[in-house]
Amino acid sequence: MNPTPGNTGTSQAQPLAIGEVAELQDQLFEAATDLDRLGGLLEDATRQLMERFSAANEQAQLLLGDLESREGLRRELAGAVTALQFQDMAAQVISHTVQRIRGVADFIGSRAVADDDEAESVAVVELVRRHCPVAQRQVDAGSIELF
Amino acid sequence: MAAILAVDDSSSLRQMVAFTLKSSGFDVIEAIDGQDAIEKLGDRRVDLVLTDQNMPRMDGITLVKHLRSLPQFKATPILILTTESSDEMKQAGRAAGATGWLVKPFDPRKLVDVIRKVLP
Repeated sequence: MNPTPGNTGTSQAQPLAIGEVAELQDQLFEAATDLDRLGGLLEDATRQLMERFSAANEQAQLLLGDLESREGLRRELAGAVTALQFQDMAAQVISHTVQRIRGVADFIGSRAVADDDEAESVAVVELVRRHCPVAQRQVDAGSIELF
Repeated sequence: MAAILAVDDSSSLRQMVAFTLKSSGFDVIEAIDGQDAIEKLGDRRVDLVLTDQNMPRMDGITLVKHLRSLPQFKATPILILTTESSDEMKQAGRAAGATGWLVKPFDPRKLVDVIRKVLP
């Protein structure tokens, strides 16, 4: 960090006041709540879409006479089901991000009150650093391995 | 008609799995996590278990271990369907007794194919 004019040496970060920490925590918790809400909206939308797909499929199977048309419909629906699974993966990323945000908020709070509970600090840091379950490589998506 | 237990904490994912499997003639029983799966199974027999890995209360690998400890599920095909793709996780699933590891998103046609392949 470059020293600012008037300073004789390296400047040191000023600790946040308790009130500022509380405000920061509130903002982080609100962000986490908003993300939770987003996850819920995605889940509802996907569930409704699947209900419509299921109903449309039933109707179409009755109307389509030839095998080729029915197979064509199955292919299209299979593609739609594969694409819709983005919601499940998005929900996991959202959940992971919410946990990280709450973990950071808790960590900031514990530091602000000079909390000497090292075990709790380590637990919070570990929670924040936990890997995201949707960190898959693209090449692995859709893979099947029988043991 | 083969009965499949589908376990996933995501209701939309369970819906997609159920839609896919029922369209192919399977009976589907749904559970929201490993604990719910054990409660729903009770004394019931199923022909295959398809489970997610990351779930509250009891994850997929723990469910697999539990089922493999029961005589009636020693030979039941158990597939793990998950976003996890690390070799470490796959090895854990294999060591627990899983029959296979499927990485999301699943292709409905391939899912049905592999299920038909592993069913006795």
